[in-house]
Amino acid sequence: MTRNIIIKDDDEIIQECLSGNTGAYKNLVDKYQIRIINTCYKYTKNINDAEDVAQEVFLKAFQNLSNFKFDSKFYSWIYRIAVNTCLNYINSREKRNEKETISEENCLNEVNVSNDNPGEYYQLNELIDKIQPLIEKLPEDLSNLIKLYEIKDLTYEDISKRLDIPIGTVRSRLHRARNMLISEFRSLSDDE
Amino acid sequence: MMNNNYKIFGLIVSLMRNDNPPEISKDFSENVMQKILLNKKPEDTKYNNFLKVAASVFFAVITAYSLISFEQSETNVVSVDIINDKTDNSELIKRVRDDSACIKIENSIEEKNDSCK
Repeated sequence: MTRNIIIKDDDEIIQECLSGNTGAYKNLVDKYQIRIINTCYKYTKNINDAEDVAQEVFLKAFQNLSNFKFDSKFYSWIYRIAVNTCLNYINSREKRNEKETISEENCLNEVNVSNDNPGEYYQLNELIDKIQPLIEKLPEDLSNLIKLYEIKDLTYEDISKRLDIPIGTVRSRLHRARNMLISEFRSLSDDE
Repeated sequence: MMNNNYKIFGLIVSLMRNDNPPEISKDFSENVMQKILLNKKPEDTKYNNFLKVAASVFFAVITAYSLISFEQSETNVVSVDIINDKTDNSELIKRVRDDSACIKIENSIEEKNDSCK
């Protein structure tokens, strides 16, 4: 059964932050932490360093939130900040150690896993197999919509044009799809 | 398991995109928020504005009170000085008179003694 879960749009959360509600920013951190840490992880190749750099990324994004243009997606904007912060981090690390050529491409190759405190971490690889069935359970129109918006990074306007449906419908269907996914995930974790 | 809706949704999307590290620390977002609150400038809160106004009013009252009391105490000092000056002058005059009188008396005694000779 689907409970009514409220997941606000990024733009709405950003407006809240800009009007003084700093706590609302935690929703954006919660939503994008995994992807931003992963971006940093590809560059730093160490999970502890990746988290340190990701913290800096979220801090920088918060401090520059007033510069965010609402014509792009928040994730694209913060992703750019993450890449720049990682390159700065690597440059300063390289200066500390020995000189080595840096480019965006050669940073994205092999990575290694290491941490001292496994109990304090969510093991994400274990969850991958559980997520796919959740998406398959969604009605086809909703799962397509989620893929277009969250995976292909299209905007509401782009989806509206592509599927020839009003923007309001895109928003409401995405809201319904998110609710269903979260409810299914919750029932999955309740079963365990 | 995660229990926040935004965390869950972020997790689902990142796994769908295959865009996830093998693990993340459980208190990552809490640490970020702590850092943000530490770095946040406190001046834009209503409470701090109220404190600022209250502090300015307090210091204005203290300054006004000390100015008024200083002015009053300065007036008293001036009046005491004048009284002291007067007494000093009169004593000085007295002394001068007394001295001259002594000199006169001494002179007259000497005159008398001289006439006796």
